[in-house]
Amino acid sequence: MSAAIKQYAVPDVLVSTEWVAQHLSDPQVRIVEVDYEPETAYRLGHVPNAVLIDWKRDINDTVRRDIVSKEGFEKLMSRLGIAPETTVVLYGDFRNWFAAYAFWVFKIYGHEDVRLMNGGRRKWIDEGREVTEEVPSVQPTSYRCRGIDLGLRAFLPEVTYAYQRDDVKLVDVRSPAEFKGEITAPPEYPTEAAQRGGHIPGAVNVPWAQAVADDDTFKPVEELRQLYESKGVTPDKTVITYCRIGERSSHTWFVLKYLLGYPTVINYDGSWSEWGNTVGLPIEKGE
Amino acid sequence: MAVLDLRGREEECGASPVHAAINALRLLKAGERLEVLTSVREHSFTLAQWARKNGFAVHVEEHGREARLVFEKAS
Repeated sequence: MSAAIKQYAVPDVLVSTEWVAQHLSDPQVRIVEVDYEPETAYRLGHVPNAVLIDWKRDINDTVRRDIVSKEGFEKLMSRLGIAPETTVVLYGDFRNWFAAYAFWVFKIYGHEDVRLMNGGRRKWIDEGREVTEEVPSVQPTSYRCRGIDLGLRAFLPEVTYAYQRDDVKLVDVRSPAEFKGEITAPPEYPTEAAQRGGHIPGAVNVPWAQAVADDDTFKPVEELRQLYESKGVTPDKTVITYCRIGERSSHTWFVLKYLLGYPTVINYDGSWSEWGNTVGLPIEKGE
Repeated sequence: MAVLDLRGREEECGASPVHAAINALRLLKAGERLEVLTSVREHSFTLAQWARKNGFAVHVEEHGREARLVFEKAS
């Protein structure tokens, strides 16, 4: 484990690109690329031996607007050749947003050893490491979840109660323009739009990208602590992260829970696309 | 030749700058060219790979982290 990773509260959840390069053929390790747009990522080249999770198709139920069901998750793991004891390393496009979301889903379904590749797809390519278009053949498994942890996930009724409490801090990780209500969703994502722009009352804005360096690796622990504590996001509070659909907030959820070790961090994946469209819920605009 | 500068454009809230470039490439007619500037090697890699698979000639010049890519739609 590199010194840069050892500093974090739970360092076992993060691996370096070098670690991945050394475990490409390790039978105990399954490397998984998680893409929002596989056609412009995995299918053009990926880490050798990596399998694909197509975020929209594989890990979401687009009919229910929900994460994949337990049964669906078990089928996905079985198809990807993952057993409950497999070390799963996730990375992906869009600067690891969707890999972080997948990490969150893996934890909800109780997968013990799941890790993120620090810096993701961008760093791997930037370092000039090998990529391939070859899709590996894997031996399917019969995966069974060991438990479900819904405590990692906030639903709307909980958030409508929690935002009024002093011992809860909501962290809006969207861009400042989204937080202020100047935009809701970019035109290329019509299904993510909200009828109102703004944020949940009392939320603080800490854009997700402030947690990463130029190469997309996570910032040192002291910088992260300073970043969040300066906004009143402290470990004595229950912290709820949200964005527009829950993927950028998974990234911040990961930072707070595993890199800083905050005891209670919950991701609200309904996020602004739910809150901003719900009749009767208050919002705030501006800073 | 049109120039698309992706430098400084990042995925803070929407689609990757790469997708803006791909959309621009899709609009090219046979023989037309597009120049793309980027400082992210992941973007260079993705665009060059995508373009070659989709009938474009690609010329790449790299200077440190900066890259200039010229795409020409095949006739």
